[in-house]
Amino acid sequence: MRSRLFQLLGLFSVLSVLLAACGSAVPPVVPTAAADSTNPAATDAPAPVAKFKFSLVLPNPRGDHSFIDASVVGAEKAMNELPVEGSIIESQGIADQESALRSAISMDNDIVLALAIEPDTLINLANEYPNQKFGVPSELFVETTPDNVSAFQINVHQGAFLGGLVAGSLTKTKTVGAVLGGDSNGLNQFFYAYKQGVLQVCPDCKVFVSYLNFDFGNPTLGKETALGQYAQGADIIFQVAGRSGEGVISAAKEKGLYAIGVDSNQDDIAPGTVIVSVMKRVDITTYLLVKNTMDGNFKPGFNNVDMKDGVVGLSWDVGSTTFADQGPAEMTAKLPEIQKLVEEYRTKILNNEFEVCDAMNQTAVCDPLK
Amino acid sequence: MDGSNGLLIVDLLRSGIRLATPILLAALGGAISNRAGVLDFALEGKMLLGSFLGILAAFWLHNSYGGALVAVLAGGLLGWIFAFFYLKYKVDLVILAIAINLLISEGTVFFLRTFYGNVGSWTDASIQQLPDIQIPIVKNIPVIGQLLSGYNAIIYASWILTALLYVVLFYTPFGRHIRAVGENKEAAKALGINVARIQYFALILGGGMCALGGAFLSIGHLTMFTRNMSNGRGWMAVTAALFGMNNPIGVFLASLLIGVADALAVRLQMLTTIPPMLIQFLPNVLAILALVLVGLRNRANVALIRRKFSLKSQKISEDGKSEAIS
Repeated sequence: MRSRLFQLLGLFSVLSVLLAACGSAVPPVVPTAAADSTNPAATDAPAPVAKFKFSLVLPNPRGDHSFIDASVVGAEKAMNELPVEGSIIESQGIADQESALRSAISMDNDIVLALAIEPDTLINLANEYPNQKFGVPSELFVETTPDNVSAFQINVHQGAFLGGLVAGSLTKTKTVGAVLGGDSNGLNQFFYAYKQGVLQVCPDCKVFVSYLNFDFGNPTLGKETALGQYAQGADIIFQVAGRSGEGVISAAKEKGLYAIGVDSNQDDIAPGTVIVSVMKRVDITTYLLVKNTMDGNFKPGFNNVDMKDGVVGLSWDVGSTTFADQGPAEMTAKLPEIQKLVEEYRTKILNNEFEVCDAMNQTAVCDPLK
Repeated sequence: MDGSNGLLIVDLLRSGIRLATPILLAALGGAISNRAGVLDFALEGKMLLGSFLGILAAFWLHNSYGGALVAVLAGGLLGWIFAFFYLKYKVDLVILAIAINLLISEGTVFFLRTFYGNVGSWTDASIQQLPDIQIPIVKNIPVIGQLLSGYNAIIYASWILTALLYVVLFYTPFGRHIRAVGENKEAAKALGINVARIQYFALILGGGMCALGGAFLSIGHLTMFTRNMSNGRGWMAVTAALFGMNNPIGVFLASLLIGVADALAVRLQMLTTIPPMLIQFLPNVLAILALVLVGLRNRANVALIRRKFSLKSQKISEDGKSEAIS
């Protein structure tokens, strides 16, 4: 009886560990042979002795329709276009980010890309392995880094400002909203600039904001929050809340109102409901980290990039016409005019003629927005 | 002004009811298990299974009610498995709960990846959300109609189940048996009550209710499944069951309090300038306060029972003495 109990318990625990392992440590995606055979250049040349190798470690699994998916697109682009061998390792959240990073380090990579990994974990490992190069495509909120870390800091405020211009131009109720994952400078960089954009074209507009207490995986709460803002009269809501944000888009669809997407091109999640997405091109920074390091241009420390580097903008810039094709006629009629306005401000911002509030680095323009 | 304030309150309560429903269903499931003497920490996993299978079945069957039914059956089956391991092999309840919670949370990710190649979230355009139902007559009553009508079937089911469980637990012989098993298993057994059967029943029913709460998330409120969708609501339900003193009406009020506090937190930060951190702390403060009140009440009850008991035994011993003297 007793031994049977232990057998069963053992079976149970082995089964759950097995499933857990399948869930997180996915066999690395190594498109070597397949990618090479489709690439005529590779078949001509003899196989290189040692290919440049990289691993991308994700903070959470793929499928966020947001910056994680964007980073994967960049890594896949690097694997397809550059003579590199890449792998993607998904972690299941903070608890196993360290083990995921360690397994990437043990794979003899030329560079390990760590996307939005908990800063202490990354810095400690970078100090422990001074000869391993690390790259951070986005979001590393620390003061200083060791010399073997190259981190991109994408400043999104200018893109969010353009999103605000669109919302301010299209609102009928003169009330718009924003649902943010949490109250931090990194996320407020989106919100303050968005609010500034709305008020720029609609000075008497109301701008609601709700924070979700850093609950990025709770679409149910995201939806109820958005429904609350819609009930208060908002007709367009900007979501900056990861998977919780999908609830915002769902609420917009249910109410027949509108949303603005974030990070990736989310216009197609709900065609005709998502007006535009404020893009944060983590795919570009991911690709650049691989390419620059391969070319011998590894640049330690922080690398601040923004709209002028082409990493921040709107989904319209990359040719999304989903809303123009499927949105209501009365709104799409206004789009050409709004796009002209957006371009006007984009030029002004790029020529330093107009200052957008940056919550990470606050100046006087931010004061009226708080 | 008054009218718009009234509307705001109705909107707040409706949002609170929607947020409370998944917690309420799981907490009712937890309460019935607690009443039968099994502390169930696997509510979270049972809920997640319901979310996952509910939406998959809705997709396969092209019918969301079918999806909810499959979720309930699967939850019941999981409840039976839980009961089987606990009653037949005497597996420790905490270990069993951890195993089930882990197995479901990783298993859903595993199956999503294997069959749909995605783990973040999954949906399909063909899946229909459970429709909202307008109750005839009631819907025309001002305010009350707005408050009580126009929810989907799972919300109404949660109310009916609350009432039903209350009646069964406190007004039927079967309910008395369940409570007897929870109060004192040995005594119940001595009285000829089939303890194992009662516990099987409670766990199967509880599993089904948790899964229905989970299905509410994926097909009643949204039409998508996201990884770890239950997001701690199963643990909130464990609290709500204890805090409602395992009484269905108490559990209902406790869940409603949690739901309305969440809805209030969302709205307060929109309409006031109170720092959002403070407002988001509000539901937790309310929970702690309520638990303190429950604790005090329980202590008072225990003291009362002791006093009655000592009075009685005093009386008995006095009677004994007087008998001896006479």
